[in-house]
Amino acid sequence: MTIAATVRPGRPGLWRRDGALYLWRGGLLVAILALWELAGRYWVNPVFLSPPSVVAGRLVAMRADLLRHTVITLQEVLSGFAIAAAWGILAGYVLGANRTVERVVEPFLAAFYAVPIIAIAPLLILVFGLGTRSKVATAAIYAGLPIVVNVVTGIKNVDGVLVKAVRSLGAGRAQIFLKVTLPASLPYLLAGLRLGFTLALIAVIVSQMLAAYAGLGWLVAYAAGTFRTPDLYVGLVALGVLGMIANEGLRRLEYRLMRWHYERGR
Amino acid sequence: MSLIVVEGLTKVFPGPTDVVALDGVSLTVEEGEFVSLIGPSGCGKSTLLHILDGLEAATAGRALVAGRPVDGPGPDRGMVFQEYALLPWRTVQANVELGLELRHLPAAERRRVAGDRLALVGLQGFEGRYPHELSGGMRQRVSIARALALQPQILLMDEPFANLDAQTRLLLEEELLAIWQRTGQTVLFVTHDLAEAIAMADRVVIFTARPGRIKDVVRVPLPRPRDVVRVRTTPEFARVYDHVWTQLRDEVLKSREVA
Repeated sequence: MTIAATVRPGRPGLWRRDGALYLWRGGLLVAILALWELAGRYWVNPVFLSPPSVVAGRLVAMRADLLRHTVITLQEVLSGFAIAAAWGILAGYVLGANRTVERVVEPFLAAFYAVPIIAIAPLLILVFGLGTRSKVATAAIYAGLPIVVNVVTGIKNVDGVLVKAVRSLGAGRAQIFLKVTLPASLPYLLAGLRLGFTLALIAVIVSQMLAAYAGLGWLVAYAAGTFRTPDLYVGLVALGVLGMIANEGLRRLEYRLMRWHYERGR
Repeated sequence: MSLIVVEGLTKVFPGPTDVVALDGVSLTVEEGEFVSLIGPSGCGKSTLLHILDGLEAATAGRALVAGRPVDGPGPDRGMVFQEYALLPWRTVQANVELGLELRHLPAAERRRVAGDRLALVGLQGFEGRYPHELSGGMRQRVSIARALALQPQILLMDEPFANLDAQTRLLLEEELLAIWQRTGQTVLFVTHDLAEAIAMADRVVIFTARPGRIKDVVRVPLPRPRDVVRVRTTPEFARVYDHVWTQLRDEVLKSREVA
């Protein structure tokens, strides 16, 4: 299994206090918005592209609805992610500690990982219904996989000489796990959680798009199905912002917890 | 009775082709002695240390420490690794406290002992640093302080200075000898560096190429306390060096042929 996430994302830089960088980014944003506005107004069929001014207007007009869909989406993502983290971490450490079991189970995990979410989602909707439960289930299953894989990778990568050193100092099996395996695998675990969170978001959106009563995925699919292009863009912007905040937040958390890891070997 | 007694020790690492790391090695080390182990790569010197520390079991033969067979690591033996083996997420202080922590000593006592050992290796003021903030020499000092925390009778050092530059290495050799002289511990010191082996030790144990056997044990008749640098310029040192090298040379050549 080599699907482990980037374990060294480096210092989070999105909000770094760096004047020139800020300026360039702001400039690029303005340029994109301007081009988008022009294209939406004069060049492209409005069924395909709504200019930012129209999208912003719709965003304000439907803010209550948008908030409701966002909250529902977040609830589903967080519930699914929480379940995924629980079983993913547990399974990861159990498999990591038992090489034989891990080698038996590995191809099954990999095969499962290889089935696209969108192919499994209808089955889960069939089983759990159109409501929240099918969304949570999809997220819970998929988001757990990268966590398992990353934890197993982390345990495999524990430096053998560290284990020797603590054994020499008198550590038993439980102490080796607590004092070495656990902290040494933490960077991998956190990277797995970050990856899992992204997958949970994707799983929830996909399931909402296929069949649901609410949520940002539903909003986007419904808007597209009824040719309400501006609403579609509102949904996309909301999803983009949500994903970015979540990813950056997790990266910062990761960096704060793992200073020793990222600052090593510089 | 000698502090360390090794009798007919054999270690075979099973595999597609079994690797005989040690083949019937016998050796005794007296209390307070400084013994260097030298030999070609893969001759089993490190394996001998691992067995004495209790990290690995012998295939055949006996390893006794203070008259008792070794059946696992214990506080009477401390190990220092070539790779320092410090836990990167722990501060210097927390690394030195590790052995005491594993034995559930109270925090105040741990702090006191760690502070004491860090002073011994000249690292006061670095308690709160992380290993990645330190130079290689400082890291190895931390590692030595960690091994000394449990006040072991025996210090097992597996090429401790091999990763250091030449000057740092001389400094640490000097300090290790000073510590040894003060604590009166027994030191088993594995090295590839012939001059280091002689300058430090009371006796130099020469290993053959794999399978590892003891080819010769050479007494180093240089007076103590020694200056690890100046001692190298004495005629006596040159004589021992020549004698050890002559024997070692054949073994190194043999191990080359095998490799």
